[in-house]
Amino acid sequence: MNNEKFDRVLSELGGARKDTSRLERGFETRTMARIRAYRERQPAFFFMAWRMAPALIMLFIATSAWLHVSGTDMDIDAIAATNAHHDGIKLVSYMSGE
Amino acid sequence: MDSSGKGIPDEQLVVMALGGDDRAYEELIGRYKRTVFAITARIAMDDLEVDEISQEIFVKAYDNLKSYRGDAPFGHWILRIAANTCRDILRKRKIRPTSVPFDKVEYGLADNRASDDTRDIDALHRAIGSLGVDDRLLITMLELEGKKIKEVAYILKISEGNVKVRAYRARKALKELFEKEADDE
Repeated sequence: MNNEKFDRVLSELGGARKDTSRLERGFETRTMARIRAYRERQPAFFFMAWRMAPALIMLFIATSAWLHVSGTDMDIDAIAATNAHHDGIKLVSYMSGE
Repeated sequence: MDSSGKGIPDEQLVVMALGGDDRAYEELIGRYKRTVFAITARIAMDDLEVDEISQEIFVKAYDNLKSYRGDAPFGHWILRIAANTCRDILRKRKIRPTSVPFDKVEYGLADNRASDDTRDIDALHRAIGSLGVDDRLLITMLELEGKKIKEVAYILKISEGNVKVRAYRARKALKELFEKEADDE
């Protein structure tokens, strides 16, 4: 097949435009209605997130407080345990003359 | 905005729409609906899908309006969104519309056109449907819609050189597919 035929058919298809006049009628109105519906859905999400904020803040404070209190004790216990262990090693070393 | 809004530049309408003026965005839709229809009508299976995809494009554009910086005409920017949307739709579509009959009435072809011509156009239509998604978009923009290389480069977010190389390959692939389709008839 020659290029000429291909070019001609391609050009013909390019020139053949679908008639969209029927779709154009009221397209702005339909699209704006969809955009408004979309916008109304968006605030619902943010509103819920905003409503949840105090509960999340309270949870954060409670968790932080609990970690602060229990975390300090845990640290002290861990240091004591480590020191005690080292003291034992030191004592064994001293007694055995190493 | 006044009831017409005809003389207002696109960039100003964008600013107004961002400020909550719905009529400004409605005016933008009115200005570019045909540009969008021209692309979606080449991709969609029927009128209902043309309407659906076109609406989706304008909703996406509205959602991303803040990102429009005015560095390119609004028409090119909306076509970039249209191309991305069409690409997603074509990739999601399980069955490519290779068997969609070319509707000679809808496309306004003369009824007395020789049947050979109609068959050729039908074959080319199917060949385009068999192309890869990116090649199909490229051919649609460049060859069917007559966009310039610079415009296509912006719309598809590739360099002008890349457009030329890809267009050459896509055209070659399309020609081979067309020949195959024409021979099968």
